[in-house]
Amino acid sequence: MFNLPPPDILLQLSLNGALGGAMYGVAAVGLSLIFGTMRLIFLAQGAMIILAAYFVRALFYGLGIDPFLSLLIVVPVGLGVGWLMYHGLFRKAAAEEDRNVSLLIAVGLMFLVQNLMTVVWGGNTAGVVTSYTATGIELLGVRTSFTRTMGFLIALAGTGLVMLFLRKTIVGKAVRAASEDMDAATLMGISPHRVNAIAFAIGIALAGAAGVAVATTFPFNPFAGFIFSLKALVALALGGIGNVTGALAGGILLGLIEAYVQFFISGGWTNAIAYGVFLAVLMFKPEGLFSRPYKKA
Amino acid sequence: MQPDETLLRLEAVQKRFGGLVVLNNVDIAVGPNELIGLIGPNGAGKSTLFNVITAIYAPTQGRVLFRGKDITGIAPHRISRLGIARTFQLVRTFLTMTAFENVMVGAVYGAGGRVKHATEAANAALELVGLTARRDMRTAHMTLSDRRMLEIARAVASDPALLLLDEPMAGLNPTEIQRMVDVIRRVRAERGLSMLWVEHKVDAIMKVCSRVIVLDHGEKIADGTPREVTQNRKVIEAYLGEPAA
Repeated sequence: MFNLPPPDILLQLSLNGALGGAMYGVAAVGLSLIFGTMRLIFLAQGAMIILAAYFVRALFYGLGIDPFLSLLIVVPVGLGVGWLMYHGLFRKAAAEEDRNVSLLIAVGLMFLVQNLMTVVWGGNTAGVVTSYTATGIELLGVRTSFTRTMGFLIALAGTGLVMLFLRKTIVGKAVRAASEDMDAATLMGISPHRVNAIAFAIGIALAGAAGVAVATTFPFNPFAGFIFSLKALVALALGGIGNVTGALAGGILLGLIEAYVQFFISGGWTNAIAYGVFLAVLMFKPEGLFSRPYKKA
Repeated sequence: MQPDETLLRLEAVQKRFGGLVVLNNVDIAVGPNELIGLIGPNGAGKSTLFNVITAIYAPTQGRVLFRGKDITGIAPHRISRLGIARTFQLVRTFLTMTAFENVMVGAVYGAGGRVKHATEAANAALELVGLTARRDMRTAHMTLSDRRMLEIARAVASDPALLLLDEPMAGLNPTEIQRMVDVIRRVRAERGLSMLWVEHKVDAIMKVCSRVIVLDHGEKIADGTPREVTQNRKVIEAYLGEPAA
């Protein structure tokens, strides 16, 4: 039996877990979009997040641009990079029925990006230290980190914008149609390459936003991205594959699980339990914890 | 029928999967505002024919011409912009979307990316199939018969010149079948488009269509009025087996 800690500590724990988990969530939203149209698990997502973090760091130390302000640069660049990445790397493989080639390209891209970052920035741990890095703020009566809170807000805003795009715009509806049934969507005049490229553009833009959150909150190194991809994958499974709000919620839930395990059991168990939950969800509730299964025709 | 009036023309189309010949030397011509029934026993090649017309499969030999233009092997997403729309044997409406959103996708992308008048086109298509009352209902909550109607509305919203119907009556009860017949007649009359209609319910085809094509083992064995087709010996053999010697 655990001794339940006082409520303020519990709240503190939950808050920190949720704020950190939102970062997994925003990475998972990107994975979810790309998986939606292309049926590809984009394993390089984490590496792209770390690349964005280094980019944010370079903008800060090189040009003196505030990391949060650099969202205005990182997100549009991410959109462009994602679009180019699809057309340059994945377009040909996407035409094949078999997704293994696309998956291998994603793995290759991940290693390439990791190693290029090592060449350019070295393999040591880097970070972004601003005047407000160590600042705390009062939230729900508990003190928490300002940068983590900002990261959470970025995740919330990013997911919200993606939701609006998918629900309210006609291009977003095309992405949803293609995610549900690519063949039917294609015969309705939707170009598969176009929706795939859009999914990649938004996915990498979200990686950019997550990169800002990571850069301001954690120290990072070129190889930290893979863990991020895995955690995003866990968040995706928790939230239900192909469910955007579920992906964010899955990330937050994963953050909570990690925080509780760290506190109540031990830090060493964190990952083992996180991946255990991942497998358990896939076995017993593969549609995700937050999605109601709907009747197929 | 004048040759220049032909909307869709299949010329000696052959489709093989490995050593299996699914379509062999099929010639079909569809004129404007024709409603043609396409029947044949299971495995006759009807679905493959639709997949060849919509460029999902490239024919092994032969050509597909639409409005006189060779469209063999073009990208499938261009098919609908040219004016060919289809429905599916197993309904493939977008389940997470409302009826209106489904039809909007057809009205915008199916018609080549227009934004102007897309809402009007979508509403008119829903009206045509009698789904106006279900406009904002999520498709996942709709009945099979409504989803089949919605597929027709989605196809019609893309302003096609040719509509391919793949067993629109499968799984429907007699009342719903009558409703479907009415909708098919109304679509043809009001939109002036041509239809190629695959159906297992042969009696419905014979009642509604003025022309019927019969496929068997990948070959066209009959093409004519319902009366001609029902009296054709090959057709009787295909459906009932060869007479005992």
